[in-house]
Amino acid sequence: MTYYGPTDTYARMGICSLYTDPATVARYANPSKEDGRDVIKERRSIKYYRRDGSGGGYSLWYYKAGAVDKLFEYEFQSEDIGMPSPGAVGRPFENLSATDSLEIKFVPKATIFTLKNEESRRPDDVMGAMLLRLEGAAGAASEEVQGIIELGSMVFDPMKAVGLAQNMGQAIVHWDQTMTAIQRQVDDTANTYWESRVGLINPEDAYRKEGAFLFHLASNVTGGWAVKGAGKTVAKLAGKVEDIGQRTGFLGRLGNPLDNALYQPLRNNAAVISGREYAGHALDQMQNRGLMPSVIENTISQGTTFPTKPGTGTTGFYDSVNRVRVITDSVSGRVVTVITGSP
Amino acid sequence: MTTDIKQQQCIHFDAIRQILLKEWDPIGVREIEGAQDEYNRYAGLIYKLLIDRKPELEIFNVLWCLETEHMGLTGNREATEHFAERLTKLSDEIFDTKM
Repeated sequence: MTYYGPTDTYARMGICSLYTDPATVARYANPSKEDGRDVIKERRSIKYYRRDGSGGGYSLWYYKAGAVDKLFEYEFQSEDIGMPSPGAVGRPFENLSATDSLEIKFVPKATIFTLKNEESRRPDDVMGAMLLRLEGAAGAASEEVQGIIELGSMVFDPMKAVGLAQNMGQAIVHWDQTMTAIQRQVDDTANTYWESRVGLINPEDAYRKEGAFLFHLASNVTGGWAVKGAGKTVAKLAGKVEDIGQRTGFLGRLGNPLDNALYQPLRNNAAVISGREYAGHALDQMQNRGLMPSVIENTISQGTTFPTKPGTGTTGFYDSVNRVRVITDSVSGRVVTVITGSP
Repeated sequence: MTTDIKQQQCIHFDAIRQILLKEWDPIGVREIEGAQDEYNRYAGLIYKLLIDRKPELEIFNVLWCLETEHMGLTGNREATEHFAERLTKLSDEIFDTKM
């Protein structure tokens, strides 16, 4: 297997967007849509823990097309229950003692990763291959650290089970059960979350680039430690933890726009976002050119109008601050396309 | 031989991209520098229609669907009919003489 370090991993993964607000997370957690393209063929849940005591879990969604397209990720967060141990709340897990009592709260978040290079334009099988390579990074590193991780030394991991066990000593002794319980709790939490939100419209979904990754390894591969499954495979990987919040972006961007793949001329369907109607073509271009709905809305409301080609029945708006042009259908007001750059 | 065909396809493909921007341009962005790739995504679809020698009506239907449904435009039916006719002739020119 090939090991990719954090830098290479990031370079290959490209841009990602992090969402933590419950509504958005719920929309991404919606497991399927009815158009057939989004139906998953496999879901895998994986947990990981970092040396600093933080940790999380995530789900990979494999789609029929072969691409991984969704990730539902969790962060563990200590939260007091009843009579918490003094000072336990909010402390890194590794600083807790076996007698501390607290509950673990699973904070869901969705992280969307998109390849930024030419590989993003290739068919899904290449995307899938890339995923496997990156997954292999964790697996390859696991061999060299086997033996390092022993139950008693994993002071940072068993703490995650306290939410269930409340007895860290027991959690450590019964490590397998601990991990199984964590797995179950995460899954239950996730399922509840998903099921409660199934059917919600997913506006962000309109921006998804088919073949793009919602990818899992950003946080755990670069996080230093990765635990797969029920703690059977442990990988220590090189590199420092990078704050996932620093890695933001939105698909294409100014100076580095994307374009629809040749096999996929129509990517998005029309949608209404924040009361504004967007044509599928507009959503495609927003995705390709890295523009958010808020920018479009601002351009229409604050920008100046400019004439478009006669006979097209369109109206142009220009925002000189963001250097964005938005073209709408004059009759319906629907956003038809968006263009970056100065006139 | 294979290389020749690929080169020829590239030429055709590029020609279609140009004609979509310069002659079709239903949104009216051809003069905007940042929108020179506005219709590139549809070139493959159109190219396939031409390769398959689809009739003018079918080409029109595809164009009209793109304009009015995917782009959300009110559309200019007459202009689209004219462009579909143009594409059909282009198809004849390309594939009658080259293939």
